Amino acid sequence: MTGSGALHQLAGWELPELRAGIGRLGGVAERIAPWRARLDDLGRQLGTAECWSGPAGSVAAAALVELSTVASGVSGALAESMAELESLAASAANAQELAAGALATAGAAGIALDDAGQPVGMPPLPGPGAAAVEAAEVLADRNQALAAAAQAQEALAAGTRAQAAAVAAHVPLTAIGVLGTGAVDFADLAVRLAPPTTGTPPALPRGLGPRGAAGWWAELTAADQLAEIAARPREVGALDGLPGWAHDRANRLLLDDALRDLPEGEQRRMAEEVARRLAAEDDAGRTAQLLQFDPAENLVAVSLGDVDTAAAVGVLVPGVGNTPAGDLGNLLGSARNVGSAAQAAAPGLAVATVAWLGYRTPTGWVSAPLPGAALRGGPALDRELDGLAASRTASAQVPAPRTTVLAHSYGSTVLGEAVLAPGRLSADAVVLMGSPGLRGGEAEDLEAGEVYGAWSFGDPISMAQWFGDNPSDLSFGDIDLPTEATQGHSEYYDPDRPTLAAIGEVVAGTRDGG
Amino acid sequence: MSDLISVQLDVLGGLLADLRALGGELAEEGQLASASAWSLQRAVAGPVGEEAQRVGSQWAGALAALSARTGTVAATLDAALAAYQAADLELARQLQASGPLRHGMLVAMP
Repeated sequence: MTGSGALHQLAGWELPELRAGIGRLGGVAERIAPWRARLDDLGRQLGTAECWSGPAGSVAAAALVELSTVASGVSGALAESMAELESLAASAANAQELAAGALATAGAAGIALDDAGQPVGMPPLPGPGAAAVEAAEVLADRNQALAAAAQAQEALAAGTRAQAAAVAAHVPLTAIGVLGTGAVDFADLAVRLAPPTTGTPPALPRGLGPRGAAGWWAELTAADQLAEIAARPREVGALDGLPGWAHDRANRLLLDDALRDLPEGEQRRMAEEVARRLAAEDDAGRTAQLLQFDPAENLVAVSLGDVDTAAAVGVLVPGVGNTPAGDLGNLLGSARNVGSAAQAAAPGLAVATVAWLGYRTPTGWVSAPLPGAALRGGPALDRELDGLAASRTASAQVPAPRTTVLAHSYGSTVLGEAVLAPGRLSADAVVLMGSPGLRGGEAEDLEAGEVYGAWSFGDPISMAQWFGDNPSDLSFGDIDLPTEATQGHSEYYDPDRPTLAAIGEVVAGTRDGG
Repeated sequence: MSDLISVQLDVLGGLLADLRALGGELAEEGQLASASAWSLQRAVAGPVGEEAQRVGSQWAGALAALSARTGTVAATLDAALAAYQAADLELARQLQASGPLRHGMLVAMP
C-alpha cells in the first residue's frame, strides 16, 4: 500500500460522485457571501435609530456586526479550502485514469500489477535457444508490462498529489480554529476572526477602478466597512463601485459636517437643500440614499429607492441650468414620477431612480454650445454607471438590476461623451429626451441594448442637432416613445403627457420593442 | 448612552423573522456540507477519501457554529421583544390600577 491508496483502489475511485460532492461544497461556499450581505443589510436596519435606539439596540447591532465579521472569515477559509478540493478533484481524476489504464495495459499482456504498481508474474527473458517468434512475443509482453508499471507509478504519484491537496484543504479551517473534532465554538472563532477593532482600518485602494473597488469592499468584514466609513467618509462617499448604503452613510456624515461648518453661501444652500429633501424622504418612511455629495464641486446624486436591491434602476441625467441648490427638488420629483410609472408598468417591481447631478451643468443655453460640461460629465457618468454595476456584481446578494439611463436635453450630450469614454456603457437601455444631439453616434453606437428617443414639434431643441445626430433624425435608429405635438422641452416627465408611462415601461423592461 | 430609548416592535419582529430564516438557511448548508463529506469518502476509497471527509466535516462544523450563533442572537432578540411587550403591558396595568381614569379615557388591554 502507498500513502495515497493502492493502485487498485485508485482505479476504483468514483469520479462522478467525487465531483458532485465537491461541487456541492463549492455551492455552499458561493452562497456564504450573499448570505453575509443579507445579514449585513439586516444589521444596518436593526442599527437605525428608527428601528431600535438605546443601549440594547446598539449591542444587538454590534452582535450582528460580529457575526458578519466571523462569517466573512469563515467564508474566506472555505474559499481557500475549496481551491485545494478542486486541486484534489483534478489529481484524483488523473490518478484514476492512469491507474485504470495501467491495469488494463498490464492485463492485455497477461501480467498483473501489485498495489505498488510492480508487475507480478513477469515472464523471464527468452533463452538463447528460444524460437524467434516466441522470443518476440515474450519481449513484447515484458515491454508492455514495464510500460504499465511506469504508468502505475504516475498514477500513484497523482494519488499522492490528491492526498496532499486533501491535507492542504484542512489548513485554512484549522488556522481559524476549526479542528474537525468536536463542536466548533463560535466564541473561539470570534477571538480569531473578530478581534476588537484597533481604530486603524485598512487602507483604501488606489487606482483599482469601480470593479476593483467593489471587490475590495466586498472582502472587508462588516466591522472594517463601518470603520472605513467612520475614518474616511470623504473617500468612501466618492469611491465608485461601493454599495449605495456605504455611499449613503459616508455622505450623510459629510452632510452633517457641512451643515455644521459651512458659512452662508452657495455650498451651504446646496447642503441645506439636500438635507431638506432627505429629511422629507426619511420622515415619510421612504428609502433615499445620498450616493454623492460634494458641496465644493456642487455635485450631488440622490436615489429614491435602494440601489443595492432594486431590480430596476433609472438614472436621470438632467440638462442645462440645473443646480443642486435650485433644482434638486424638481429632479427628485421627476425621479419619483419615473419610479411610479415603472411600478405601474410592473406592479411589485423594486425600483430605484437616481437624481444624478454628478456633473456641473451649463448655466444656460449661451454656454451650452461649449462642450466642456459634457466632456467632464460624460466620464463621470460612465464611472457612476460602472460603479453601480460593479457593486451589485460584487455583493452577489441579488441579481444585477436592469439599468436605464434617462438623459434629458444636454444630459443626452453628456451620455454621448459617456459612450465615448473607455469601456462599454454599463446600461441596458438609454432614453434620449429633447436631445440637442450627441457625439456618441447613432443608436447602434450607444453601447446599450435598447435605445429610445422622445422628441416633439413643440420642442425645438429636440430637433436642433447642435452636438450631433439625435432621435429627430429618422435614420438615427432608436425606438420612438410617444409624445404630443404640443409637448414642450421640459414636459417629458409630466404625468399628463404620454411619454412618462412609456418611460416607466422602459425602466421596468416591459416596453414592447425593447 | 443614548438619551432616547425607542423600539419599533413590529419592525424588530420582522427583522427577527428574517434573522431566524438566515440561521435556518445556514443550518441547512451545514447539513449539506456534512452529507457531502461522507460522499467524498465513499467516492474516494482509502486515505484520500478519509482526509476529504474530515475536511467536509470541518466545513460543516464551521457552518454549524455560525448557524448556532445566528439562532442564539435571534433568540435573544426574541426575548427582548417579548420583554418590551410585557413591560409595556405591565406599565399600562399599573397605571390603570393607580387610580380611576376620567370617563372616556379607558383603554382596552389585551
